[in-house]
Amino acid sequence: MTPFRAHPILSPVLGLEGYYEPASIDEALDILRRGNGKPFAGGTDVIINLRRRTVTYKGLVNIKRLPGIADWSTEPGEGLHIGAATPFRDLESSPSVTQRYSALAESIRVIGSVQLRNMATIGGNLCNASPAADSAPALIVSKATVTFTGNGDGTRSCLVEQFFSGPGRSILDPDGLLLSLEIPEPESNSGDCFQRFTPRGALDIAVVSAASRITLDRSSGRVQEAVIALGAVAPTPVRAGKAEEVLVGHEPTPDLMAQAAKIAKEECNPISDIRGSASYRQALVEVLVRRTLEQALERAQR
Amino acid sequence: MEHYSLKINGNVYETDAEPFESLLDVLREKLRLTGSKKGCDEGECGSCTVLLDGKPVLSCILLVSDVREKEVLTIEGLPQGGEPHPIQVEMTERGGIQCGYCTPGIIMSAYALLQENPRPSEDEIRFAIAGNICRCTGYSKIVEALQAAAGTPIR
Amino acid sequence: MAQPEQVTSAAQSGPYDWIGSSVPKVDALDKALGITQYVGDMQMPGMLHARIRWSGVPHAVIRGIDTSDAEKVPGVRAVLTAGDIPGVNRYGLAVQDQRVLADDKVRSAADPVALVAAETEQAAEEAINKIKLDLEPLRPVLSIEDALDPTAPAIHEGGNLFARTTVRKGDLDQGVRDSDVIVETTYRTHLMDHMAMETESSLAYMDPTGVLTIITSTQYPYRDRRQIAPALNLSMNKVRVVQAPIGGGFGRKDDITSEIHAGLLALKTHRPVRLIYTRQDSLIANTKRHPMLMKFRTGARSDGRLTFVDADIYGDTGAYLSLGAFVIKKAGIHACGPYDVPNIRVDTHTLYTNNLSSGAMRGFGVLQAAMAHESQMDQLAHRLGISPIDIRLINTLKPGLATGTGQVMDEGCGIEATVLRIKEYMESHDLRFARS
Ligand SMILES: Cc1cc2nc3c(=O)[nH]c(=O)nc-3n(C[C@H](O)[C@H](O)[C@H](O)COP(=O)(O)OP(=O)(O)OC[C@H]3O[C@@H](n4cnc5c(N)ncnc54)[C@H](O)[C@@H]3O)c2cc1C
Ligand code: FES
Ligand code: FES
Repeated sequence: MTPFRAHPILSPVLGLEGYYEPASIDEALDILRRGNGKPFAGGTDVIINLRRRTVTYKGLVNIKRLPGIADWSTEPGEGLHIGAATPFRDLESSPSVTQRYSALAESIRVIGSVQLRNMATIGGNLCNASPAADSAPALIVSKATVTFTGNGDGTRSCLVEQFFSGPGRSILDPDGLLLSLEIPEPESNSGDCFQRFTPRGALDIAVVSAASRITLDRSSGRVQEAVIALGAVAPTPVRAGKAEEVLVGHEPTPDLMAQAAKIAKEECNPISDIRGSASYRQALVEVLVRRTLEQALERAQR
Repeated sequence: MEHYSLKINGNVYETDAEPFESLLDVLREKLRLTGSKKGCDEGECGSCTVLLDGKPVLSCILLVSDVREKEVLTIEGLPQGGEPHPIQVEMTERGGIQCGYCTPGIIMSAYALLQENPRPSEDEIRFAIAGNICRCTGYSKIVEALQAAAGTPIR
Repeated sequence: MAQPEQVTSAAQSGPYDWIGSSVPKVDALDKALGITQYVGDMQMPGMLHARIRWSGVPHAVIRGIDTSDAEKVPGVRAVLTAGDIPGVNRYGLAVQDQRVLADDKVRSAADPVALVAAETEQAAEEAINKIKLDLEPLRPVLSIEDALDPTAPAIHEGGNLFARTTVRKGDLDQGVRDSDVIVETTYRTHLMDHMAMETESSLAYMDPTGVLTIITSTQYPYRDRRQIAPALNLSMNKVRVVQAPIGGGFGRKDDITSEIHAGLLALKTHRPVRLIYTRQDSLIANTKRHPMLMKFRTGARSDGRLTFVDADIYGDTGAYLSLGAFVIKKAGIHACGPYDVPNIRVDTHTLYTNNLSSGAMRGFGVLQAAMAHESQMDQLAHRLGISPIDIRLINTLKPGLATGTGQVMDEGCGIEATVLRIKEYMESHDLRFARS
């Protein structure tokens, strides 16, 4: 396998000058620090943007052949470790993922199409930082953390929830690399669910998405913890904190969940764009939060 | 320019290409394997679907450099011993083909499905081909053809 | 390669026995095998690749087009603008209101202003992006309301109202007097793309006898030739249009698409030229389904019988007519739907705007009208407390009755049977209407 390649290209395709396929993280970081290119994994965002000429890059850094970056593993009771360049389809095809991580599996199954998910990676979805990124709400309610290279040497970690800083922006440095995700083992008295609304069933982008997790107090059956995350209603994926609050400590009745959904609708502040008006999005938030809470509860009670 | 030895349909093809070129363009324009179609060039329509190491992918947004040391299967590689694959036969006989532009992509998605799941339900078939847009047929006849190819009952 | 078994049986002996039986399409197996050659699959030795620069602006005066940087892109063999057209710079299906390349004015964002042919697609793409347009924007006409505004600028000589058609039957005033309820609503439909899976494409070359040959994804080779020859200043017998297998048309490949442009470039470069629209080109440049504004007033008696339809249908044909006037006229002809209506006043108005142009698309205007007349029926049913099925059964055209334009129905009129089948289906599946 050719390790490191840096060479000028005579007639540039897509306006690019260099193509790199680093074989080690250090080499990759070195190329990135020198400002030589944009990292890509599945390329399903990067290549599209280049084709549409909405961006230009000096070169491209293919990170898929970095050791371990496309590997994932799980042990019962130990949670899930996912290399950043793992294609979605690998996770979706594994019962050990889909049976334990319902919301994540539901979010993956709606992304693009089967073919797209054989290419698109979970790390790319997060680094692309679209407010509508479908894996984000599910990862937030799963309390996933990401590990990435920080300024200088060493690595840093944070919750997925803290990773985004604006539309298309994350706290990752331009020359940083996302390495992996860790998702803790779900507790047995807990359940989660993801749903999104799109006019089409496949190959569409969420007008609104929502994920909910409910953890029940084993003895009382009351809500011990509630996490609600919303997509496409703010510059980044967000939590619906006030809606979560009304649930905690109470019996999860249908009325209470409906009330929480109404609060989620009121506390979010979406914009109007081609996919939907602000008020339509808010109406969807109420419906999706209610439905995902109901489903999460059912799963928690199983 | 780079030199690539690409394993396609069990053969090795030698070609020069830039690493940023899409596999689809290399297949169609350089290797003259034109069965894979270009409907959108941005991953939305599925007409460029080929199998990469057995998995369906979108060759229009797959860079040729990513194909290095992997195996590609295109529509041209499906017939065995000069005989069309059963999916190709059923699509032909059951009205799954009108203009035919989506057809190679649909057949490749279906082939990948049947490799993994030889007796899929109707829902599983529809899920597997959801990334393949067909503007002519309305899909019903395609689904019937794929059910026939899988030997499952046609609704 | 083995042909699939033909669906034949002993019963198929007479010449009409194929009717009603399922027969595989003759070209389907090749398509399944991926060996059918669409235009985009073809190459010729020495072939150049072409791209089009669109105006990008809906309405403007062209002050200048600077192609000098584009010409310098390595591999570029021709950059053409309106001045390079050897024949008449006009074409069109019904009226010649389109320019091969924009000359005086830009009338829509999809006006082609320059063409490039180059050794590679990338070079052609780079070159079109280097063409500098000096455009002086004019007030754009972007909606039906804009087009009806008497102060709006005229897009073509002759104004923005291209045609009006009328349908009249009975006595409208009498119809209004006979009505127990009247519903009045304005409907709008939107522009829609056919989105054929294959984009528009042509491969043009000069054959050894000096005939310009254009292999193209088209619905009408002869109608294309009638438009290509005058633009290129060639006699008809010097132009040959070959219809390639077409990857979906649905009406959009009725019009000239890539044919004249590819032909012109082949003529100028003496090389084969292949022009394949990108999906974006296709979305920008080709005809769409007409957006319509439909003002409907419909009356009925308390027993559900329709008394009158009074409607104005405005169609936005965009910057060029294509088949617009015919599509919009047809919406008017079908404005009463498959119903027996005693008194009718329907006017249609075909309007030019600076929007993308619309033309033929599956249904040809009838769909837009259906959206309005069926919504009117539902509203009448609701107001009268009759089921939506029953109000239709009361009014459907039956053999012997005539449409609004006087066509008397014979035994081929299946609307009543259709509605009855729907009724039966709904009953057997316990389906109900949401309202009423
Ligand atoms: C047809 C189509 C349909 C789609 N549908 C959906 C959908 O339904 N839902 C959805 O959420 N998205 C969708 N997408 C968007 C896209 O597929 C996803 O965001 C995908 O997960 C991106 O992953 P990738 O590996 O392809 O990213 P790439 O394109 O390779 O990269 C995306 C971004 O992340 C950066 N990046 C990638 N990996 C790393 C890393 N390890 N470290 C640092 N930076 C990195 C890149 O520099 C780039 O900025 C769709 C895209 C297409 C083309
Ligand atoms: S051409 Fe690749 S998905 Fe449309
Ligand atoms: S057969 Fe024409 S697009 Fe599917």
